[in-house]
Amino acid sequence: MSDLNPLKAPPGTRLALMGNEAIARGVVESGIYVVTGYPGTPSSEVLMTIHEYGRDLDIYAEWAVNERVAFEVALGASLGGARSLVTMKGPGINVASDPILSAAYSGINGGLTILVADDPGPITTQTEQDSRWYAKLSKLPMLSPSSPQEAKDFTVISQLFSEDIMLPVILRTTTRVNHAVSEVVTGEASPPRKYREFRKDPPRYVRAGMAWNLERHKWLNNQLKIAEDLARKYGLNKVLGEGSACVVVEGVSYNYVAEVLDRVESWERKIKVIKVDMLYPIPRNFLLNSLSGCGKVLIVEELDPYLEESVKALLQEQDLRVEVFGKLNGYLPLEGELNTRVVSQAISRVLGYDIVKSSHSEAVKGFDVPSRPPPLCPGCPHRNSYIALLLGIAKAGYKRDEIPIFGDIGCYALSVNPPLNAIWTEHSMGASISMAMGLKVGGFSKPVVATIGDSTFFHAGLQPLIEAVNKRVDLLVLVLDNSVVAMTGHQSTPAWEVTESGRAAKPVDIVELLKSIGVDNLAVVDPFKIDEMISKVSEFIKKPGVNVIVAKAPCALLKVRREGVRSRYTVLSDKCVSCLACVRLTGCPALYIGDDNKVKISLDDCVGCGLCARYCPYKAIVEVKPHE
Amino acid sequence: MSEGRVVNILISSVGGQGGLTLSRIIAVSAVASGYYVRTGETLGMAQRFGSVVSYVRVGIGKKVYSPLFDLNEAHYIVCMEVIECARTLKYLRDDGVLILDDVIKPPTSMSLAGKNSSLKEQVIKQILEVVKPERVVVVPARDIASGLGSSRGANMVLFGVLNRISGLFDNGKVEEAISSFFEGRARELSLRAYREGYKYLDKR
Repeated sequence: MSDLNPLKAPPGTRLALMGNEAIARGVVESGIYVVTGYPGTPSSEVLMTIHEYGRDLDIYAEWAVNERVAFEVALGASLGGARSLVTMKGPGINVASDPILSAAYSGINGGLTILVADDPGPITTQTEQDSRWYAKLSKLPMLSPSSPQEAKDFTVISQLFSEDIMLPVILRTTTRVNHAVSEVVTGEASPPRKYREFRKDPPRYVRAGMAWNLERHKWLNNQLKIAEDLARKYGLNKVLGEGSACVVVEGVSYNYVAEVLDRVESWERKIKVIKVDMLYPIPRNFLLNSLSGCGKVLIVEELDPYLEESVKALLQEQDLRVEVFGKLNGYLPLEGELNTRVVSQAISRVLGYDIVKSSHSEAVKGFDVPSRPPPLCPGCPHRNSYIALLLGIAKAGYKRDEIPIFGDIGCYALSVNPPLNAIWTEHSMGASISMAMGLKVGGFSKPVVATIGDSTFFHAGLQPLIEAVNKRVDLLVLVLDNSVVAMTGHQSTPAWEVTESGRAAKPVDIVELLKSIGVDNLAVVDPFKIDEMISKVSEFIKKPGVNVIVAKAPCALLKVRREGVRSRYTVLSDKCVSCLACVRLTGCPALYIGDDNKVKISLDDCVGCGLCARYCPYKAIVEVKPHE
Repeated sequence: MSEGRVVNILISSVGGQGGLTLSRIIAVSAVASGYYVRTGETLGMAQRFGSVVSYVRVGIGKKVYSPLFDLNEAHYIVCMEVIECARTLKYLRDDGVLILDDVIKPPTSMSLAGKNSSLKEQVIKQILEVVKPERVVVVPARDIASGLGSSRGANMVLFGVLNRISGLFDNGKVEEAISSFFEGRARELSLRAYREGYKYLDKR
């Protein structure tokens, strides 16, 4: 049904869209031609939506090898006049920050939007990084939508704004905007804006000339002066209600404020809400005008006191006597995401209004039940790889707890949970190899292991490996190669022959790469041939040099989706003695203990990998073919 | 305070059961009905087998802002699994309704601790001690869906029951939403599962 296709629905259609789908719609409405990025929750669905619904649209939509490459691709397109968007999660902007800071000096030609999706909570991210500071650091304009509708609208505005001010514009979102589904009314589509011209202009594009750089810095500071006029031109920054009790708010936090004020009788006549849509440069005139007449101001924002510090500085500079409440004086938390309850408490404490309770009861109902830490999926090849690694370490004569295993970012970090309890660290993309090397060069005498997925290796693992090979550090590296970016929803890697958009790609071979870097010993193993992998681990861990084992097998979820389940396993109850060896070795979530205390296998979940059967001492687990 | 009302629905499930799909189809049904909607989800980092909580807020004649709601604020909780149900009970209003598929998916932590699945009966008993039995509707949704051809339709059976009890949407709008979301055999199965769920309480 093309009238429900988020990218093709006619203008004026009211759709239920996730924030990221709305941003993808914004791509179509603003005539963006180049969309690229690196997968990362909660940003991934923007490109995925274009792949799913817009393969026949004339848009370059491709995952890049990492965020800095993605940004540089978008920048290059923009310098030629094409409109572009680059997407990433919060930590992704750390990776892309080097070229982003330089881009502020060269400026852009075609509109360039940087989507950075932060994750207060955190719900799926290693830190609660507040990427709003990147706007201040890079001196790039930043817009902050509060809803899926605004996410779409601000995507369109960001492109026009970017071309007007000749700078990349950062669109900063948070999980509750990216992943919220809400009504969105579509606008008019616009034809993709492609290459126009690229003129040679060294003072602008070459950062080797220090005098040029000084001039471009002045140019940048000067450009920022028109930002507030542009914000006005595009209808950004709003005041709702009136009164001397004021709330300054931005982004997703606006929803909690709106929700709370709806419970205050005639709030519009008592409270002024100042909604800041442009976070950088701080809209000084807008804020000064709207703050005049305020006696008390509560600043509502998630994570750091970014707006609070700006508002305080502005009030101090203008010598305005307004009481400011927020995070710095403890009215709102510095960590975690906000919600209606927390905002309600702050508003009633600061502004003194009674908030109508939304529920009858304050009591907390319920009782304790077992926790459910996320496990590796049934049939996941990483489970086999880590078991082989742990058993290989033992086979080589080491104790499990004396060989540090450095982990990396991906599903396989779930190996930290029982029963594997495998990885010792999970830090940032690619860090497993360099940190393992660091422990060695710091004086650690026993072997060390780094484990890294294939996509993470392409993203940021190559350089650490080059470093380790070059410095001749003894290290065992396991490349867990499932040939997909699994954790974020099965995106393509540079090893694919055809990308999601249908583009014919030239696959990059990890094994050939490893050879050319010059690793000392290299083996490719199938983690489902677990005995072979155990032997290889015990052999390589004792050999000097940088030794790499590529454990290659497809992601189980993807394999089942493509091929179906060929066989399953079942437990013969009369043979099962409830020793739980299968459960304790594998931790497979398809296994459970039945009412009769015998192990059972969930038919919905077993994909037939046979690992539990392999380690059942009583041969009580047997394969069942579908026709039996 | 604006007119209209907001209905809060919480869906608790285990990753892979179809809780997120259910939340999405409720949202599509709401927009097709001309209502406002806002959803939020809290899920673990794994694609499957973690706890998944979806918040769905339907605004009838009233705009919805927050994607989340607080404890004691759910008008309806739809549980696809009993342990997750117990974990999210605290969200139910005193006058709310709990719709429960009496399926247990024992978490790995439980198996590792040597606990067996008989915990299911105990958890259901405890749920009925916390929530008045007349406010709990137990539906064998997974079994009904399996009977129709695939256990994956359990979420749509539950949606049928939810809509029968809540009267939130016209069946036509729901079927439109389901048809726009699924294709081929999954569409037929989902529609049948929804209809079966809608009839379930009348047949019982």
